[in-house]
Amino acid sequence: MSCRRVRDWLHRDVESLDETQRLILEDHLAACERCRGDRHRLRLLRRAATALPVAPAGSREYGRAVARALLEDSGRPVPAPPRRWFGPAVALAAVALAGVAGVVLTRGGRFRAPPAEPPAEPIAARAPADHLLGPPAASPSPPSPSPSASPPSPTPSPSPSPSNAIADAPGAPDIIERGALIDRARRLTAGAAVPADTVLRAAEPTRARLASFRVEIAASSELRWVPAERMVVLSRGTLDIDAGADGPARLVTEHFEVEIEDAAVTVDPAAVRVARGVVQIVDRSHRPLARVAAGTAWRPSPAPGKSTHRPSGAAAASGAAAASSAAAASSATPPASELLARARSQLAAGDATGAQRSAQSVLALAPSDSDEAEARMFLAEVAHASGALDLAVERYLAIAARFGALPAGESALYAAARIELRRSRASAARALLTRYLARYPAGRYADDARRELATLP
Amino acid sequence: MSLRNPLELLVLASSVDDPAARPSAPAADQIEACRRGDRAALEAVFRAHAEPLARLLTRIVGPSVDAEDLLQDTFAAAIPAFRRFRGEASVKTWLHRIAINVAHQHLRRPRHRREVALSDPETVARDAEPTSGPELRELTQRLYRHLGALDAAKRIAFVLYAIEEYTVDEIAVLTGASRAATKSRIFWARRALLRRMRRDPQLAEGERR
Repeated sequence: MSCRRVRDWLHRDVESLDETQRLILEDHLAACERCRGDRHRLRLLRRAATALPVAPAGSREYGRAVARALLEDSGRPVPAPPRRWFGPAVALAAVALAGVAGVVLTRGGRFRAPPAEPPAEPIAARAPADHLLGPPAASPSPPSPSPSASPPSPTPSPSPSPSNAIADAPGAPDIIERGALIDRARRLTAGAAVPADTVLRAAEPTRARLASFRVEIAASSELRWVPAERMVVLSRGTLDIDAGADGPARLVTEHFEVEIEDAAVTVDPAAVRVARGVVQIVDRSHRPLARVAAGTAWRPSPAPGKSTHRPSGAAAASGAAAASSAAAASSATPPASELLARARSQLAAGDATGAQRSAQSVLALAPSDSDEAEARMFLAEVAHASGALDLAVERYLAIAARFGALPAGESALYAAARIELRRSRASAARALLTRYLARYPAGRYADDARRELATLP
Repeated sequence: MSLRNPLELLVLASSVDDPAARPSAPAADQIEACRRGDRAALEAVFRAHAEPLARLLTRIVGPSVDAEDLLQDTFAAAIPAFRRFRGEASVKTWLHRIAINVAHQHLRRPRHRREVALSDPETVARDAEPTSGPELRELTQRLYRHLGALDAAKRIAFVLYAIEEYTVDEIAVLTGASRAATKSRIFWARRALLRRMRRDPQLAEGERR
């Protein structure tokens, strides 16, 4: 009998063969040593493969993979028909998600927005408000790396006006400096001109120079640039604008407009956060709504045109107001354990904004070491899930350095090594894995770390 | 290292694929919500299929790869593709196709084609994946080293056939290949694999019944 006839049955269990097949196979195996050996090897392989460990349904690994995939998608250009201008308010959930990616990814850029509410540390409380109300010297100095380092301004700000803006519009080129914008089906990358009066979508975190100011655009954000009015119309997503003193910029959303001169702000349809200087917020009929200073945020109320609980109005958010607002917020804050549980479920559900906010709320409570370590792990995971890998590694390593005696410290060090492995940075991965093994020779990931070290070139 | 009675070790460690634990098919409105990009619906469908997909990916790529990463890639690919999902296949089949594509791309990356000399027991032992014991780990690693010598498409077809026990027609659907191509891949994969395995003295035990 031919070996060929039985080769398709060799890997199968006898029980899965019908009676005829089984008899033919048994007859053949009794006479053919090679097929007996092959049958043994193939069954060995099958049993080895089916014995590989797989996490049970509902495991945290699966929730994490789902959450990361959903987050990854939030930063992807969607090949859909153009959205209606000023999309519906229900899109705010997606916008908020894109917003956190933008805030995380623009960290280390020209300026950094203050954290989402509640702020862990109100920036305005650290500097007298009168230092923040005016612009700095006439020349547009480079923006400071952090809001708290903003130079104090000796003179009051001239009130910005749209007519001024048109007259002052310089002939500076409008170009993409980093990232990519999608103009219908066209992908515009670094060095390309930013087309005017066209709906553009950020394919990835993108930086552009428009007239004399810079914008950082979170992935998936949609905007239109109107150079004649030095105006950016934001319909979706998050935008950071850093404008100098040589002419105001206007940022228009569905419900409000922000007039920006010598200031840096982060704007999404749900909030305005000021990182430097002072901005004026008006409604779509140009009625003043608020003046908002560095370190504070303003949010439109559900009824458009009214600001919410954040510092606003002519008082322009003094440090005391910000502090009292933070205190009021903290008095209603749930305990750390509840916030951590909330962050956990939010992260598993892909709600990075919520997870980040919950983790920051924990940090604002002066938590225990273990709670703080866990909260910081959530912040690192949010950065990781958002694709901000440098930031994620930085956060993991900070946790490992500070909480090395806790389980979170061990996990953080290994997580940092895994990121370096995944992005093929062999030397960094080797250094971190070696450090992990030196510190935790019998640790939870020691076997994995040894195996991964062995596979590195 | 002794490999006495590896089969018994494997039998003890084998996981049972419980049909009752398989995910139920999502309702039509849930699929429609997934097409619209509804996050809650996507999450529910992905979570329901996560375990079988992770198992499939693990069995294809082997013990030295983090299946969570591949699972994430599978879901990330499925989200935009859901808009084009016409319902001609079940969601399970459709997700398995995506996972197989992800695994295929992964296996085609150059670093996964690196061969390790099997005569170097120290290398194999260092590279072992913890499962339930050192002998089992070494054996599993050794078997996947042999499997790793196959071309990605042949390897996938063979794993689906010999380990997952799909039929040739099912594999053709899952891999998007013709029936003839699928049969050919399985044939050549088995031939190449067995040639390698026959030369491995560690796998010679148990030939005589």
